[in-house]
Amino acid sequence: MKPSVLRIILRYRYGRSARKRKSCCRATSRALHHSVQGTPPIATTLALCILLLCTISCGVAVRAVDEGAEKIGAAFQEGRRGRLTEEETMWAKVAWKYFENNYNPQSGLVNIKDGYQLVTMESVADYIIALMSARELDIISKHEFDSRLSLVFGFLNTMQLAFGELPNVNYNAVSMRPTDFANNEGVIGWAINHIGRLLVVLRLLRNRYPQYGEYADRVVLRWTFCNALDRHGNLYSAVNVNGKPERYLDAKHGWKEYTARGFKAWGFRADSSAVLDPVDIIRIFDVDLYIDGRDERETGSNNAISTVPYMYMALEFGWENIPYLAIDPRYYNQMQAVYEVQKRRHEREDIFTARATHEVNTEPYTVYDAIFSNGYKWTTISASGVYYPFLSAVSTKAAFGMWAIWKTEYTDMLMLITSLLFDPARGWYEGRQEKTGDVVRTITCSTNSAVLEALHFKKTGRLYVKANEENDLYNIYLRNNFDIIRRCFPVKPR
Amino acid sequence: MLLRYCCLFVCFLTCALSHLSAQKQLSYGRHPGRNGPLTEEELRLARIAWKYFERNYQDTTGLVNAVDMYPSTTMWDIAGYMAALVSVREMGIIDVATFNYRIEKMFQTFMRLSFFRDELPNKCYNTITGEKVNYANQPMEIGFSAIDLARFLIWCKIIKERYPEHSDRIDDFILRWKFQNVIDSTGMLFGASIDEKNDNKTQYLQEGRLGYEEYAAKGFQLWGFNTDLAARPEPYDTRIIYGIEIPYDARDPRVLGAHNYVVSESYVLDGIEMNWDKGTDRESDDMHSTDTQIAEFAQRIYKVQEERYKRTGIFTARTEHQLDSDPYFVYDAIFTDGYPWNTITEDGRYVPQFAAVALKGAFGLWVLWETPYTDALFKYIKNAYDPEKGFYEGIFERKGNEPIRTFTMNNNGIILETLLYKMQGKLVRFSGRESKWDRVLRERKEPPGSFIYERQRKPTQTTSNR
Repeated sequence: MKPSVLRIILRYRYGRSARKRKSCCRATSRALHHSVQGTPPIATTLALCILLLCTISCGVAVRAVDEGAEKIGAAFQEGRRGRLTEEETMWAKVAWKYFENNYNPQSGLVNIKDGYQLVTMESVADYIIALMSARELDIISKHEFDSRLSLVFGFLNTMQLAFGELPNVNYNAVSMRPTDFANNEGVIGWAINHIGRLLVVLRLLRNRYPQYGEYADRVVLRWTFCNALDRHGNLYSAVNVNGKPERYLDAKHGWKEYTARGFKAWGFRADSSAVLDPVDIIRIFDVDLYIDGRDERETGSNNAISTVPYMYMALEFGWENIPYLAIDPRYYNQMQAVYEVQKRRHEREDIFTARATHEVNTEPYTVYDAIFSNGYKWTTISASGVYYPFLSAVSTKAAFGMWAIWKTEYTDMLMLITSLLFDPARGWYEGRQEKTGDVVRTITCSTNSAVLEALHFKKTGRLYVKANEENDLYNIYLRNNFDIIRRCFPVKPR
Repeated sequence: MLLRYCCLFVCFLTCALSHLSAQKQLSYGRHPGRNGPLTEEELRLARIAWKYFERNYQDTTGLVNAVDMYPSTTMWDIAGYMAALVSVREMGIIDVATFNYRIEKMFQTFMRLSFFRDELPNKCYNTITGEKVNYANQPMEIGFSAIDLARFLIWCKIIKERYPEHSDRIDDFILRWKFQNVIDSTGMLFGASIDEKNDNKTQYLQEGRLGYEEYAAKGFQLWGFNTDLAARPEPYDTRIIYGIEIPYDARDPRVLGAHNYVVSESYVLDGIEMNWDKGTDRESDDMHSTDTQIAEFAQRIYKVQEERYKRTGIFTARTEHQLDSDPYFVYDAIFTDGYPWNTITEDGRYVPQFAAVALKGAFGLWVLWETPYTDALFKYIKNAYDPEKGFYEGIFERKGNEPIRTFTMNNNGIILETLLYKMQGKLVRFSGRESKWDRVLRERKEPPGSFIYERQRKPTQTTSNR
């Protein structure tokens, strides 16, 4: 490389970096200049090394300058670890109650909501998490685990796919047929976030219980990804338009990277979705949060920031950016910031805050109860963007997640108002209403699964375990690549 | 023939002399932004803006239409007309006699003006008949706007302090006003409207959001009122746009209905009329602003628009403006209702296709900030006029260089006062003379029920935000 070119790069970098980097950069530049003019090659290499290091550090400085005032670092959080106390075991048992009550013996599926016989890929994934957690917390026997899991595999490997490509958004929990939003039979399309969540959970399951790996692989191998993923790695949801999928970019920051990680876990190239881009910054209580830069008034799907995807990321993959599952490192800052900003809201405004999308018993049923969404902080909106300020709540799901991940005074306090929000016969409630202190009396699969997951995390640490994946069924298929290449799998050379 | 030439020459000479003396007179030293006498070109632009007022003048009342050829006006727009009159007089575009005639004519109309429920001037008046009307120009009373009245008060103050011969006339009119419902003892401002659901009773609602509220407070301050709550920039929050913290009103538009638009106009008007000084400040020189917070906010409002131009290449001078077709009026904001660079209708609909460079905003930025960006901005907009009708309202952002083919009094009036600012700096000047208003108050002879000063301290009725 020509030294002049390097210097230009260097100057460009250094021009925008913090002042104290100056001398370092200049010195290296000078060293390089000298070394090229007739010094031995070792010196040149050395200088190049220093230069490289320096450039990297300059780069870091540039980013710090770009990102505004106070920086929330992505510190590793050990979280709560150790054996469960008696009370915590009781919490887990209460959560498992939900999965007993809502079990459909005909299909082996568990309702998404107490008494509502419908499942989504997300709720199936939550159920698998609950199964694993209940097993590892010794709430269920090996036998029960096996018999329940077998039925889930049976469903996943026989369910009718939307357009023969990917799982439909909804299925009836008894008949196992694809259904529409009112749970009447019909195909409506797929939701990429749900599929991403299932991909993550199948990977977690497969690596924890390699004996079942083969069947998990078969679930994924049935699918067709051509419309879900383009060659840049963008992820698409699809809706049914006259029997054909019409795809659209759906996932926004938070879920987008989580979903991308799910795809990466199965060998797909989803790098462009794993990056926080386009990004905008919003500052709340001096904490900078990344929000999706795409205008939801033009793209349709909202850009709500809630605790959930960040919490799953931490519980499931920890704070290590696992190389082959790498996502944008800024995501880890965001994980920390999401906690920090909610803690500060309690400190500065005395409002307990643990925000998550949750269910309610009245219109609009699902509320996006967000740290920030559609232009407003601490907002609570329906899917169509209508503002429901009276439905804000401290989410049980988010509170348990935060409690497990951040072992702090704030999460201790949060648990004081959350740890009794259950019906011993039915499971955990969705949360506590922010404006009234009353209980949100809805009971869902997602919240009860999250309680189990958080407790599981306490006992064993992150759910993801490394495994040798080279010779599993999935990778053998990828190498044989006979048929699956047409279905847009990331085939490998033989 | 010779005589004719002579006459012309003399005429020209007097014109030129009066022009020169007008430009020389009233010099207050340096002020922020652009300084100095107007150039040939700027003077030409001023004459074009004045065209609007000549074309829309109604001799029956002495008022001017707020929108081209539509015989209706508001108190805000009347203030714009007064601004235009003062500006062209100071620039020598009209002579003193014409100025006096126009002011007298207008105040004659004001003295017989019928008020909203005998309290304060109605929101709208017909410019031909002088009757109070609704927005569709049908005879009817609809309420009053504290912000419109405040701008009117500012310009009354400017005229009476500059031209003592009109002082009594103005004070007589303002002494007719009853202030008890427009401002309360805490210094909060209220507008009035008719509550159709409640027996057509008058309802008084807090009026004004960050920017306009503080500007309006100064209008009342100039006349001696206590405006504590309105003058405070609270409650506000900030949103980071291009790395700059932009302040916006934290009162939630989804709950209260009033949009919290951040636009250039309120800060520009505060800058050129008040120099971002407090309403009570009668001393400080023009290089210092005593309302430091508003002055700081104004800097950010400018900076972020410049930054947008630098980053996207889009000329930006955002403010609310009129349109020549439905929805006729948009809040074309730097930030409003949650979004940066948001353009919404009165009812909150998102209409990005109507985003525009507003001419009054551009002129304001140009005169208050002397930078390469405003030079470029000025070049971009200076030819957006119709030589017969005045300046266009703006230039659309998304439709090439297409202008908004609407002509308004507010736009042309503000353009004229920005040019006057270049010549003179802060437009509000104090003579220190005791006026009729001061005397009446000192002798406690104000009309009954007018709620001035001491009465303002009395606790008032309970109030709601909506």
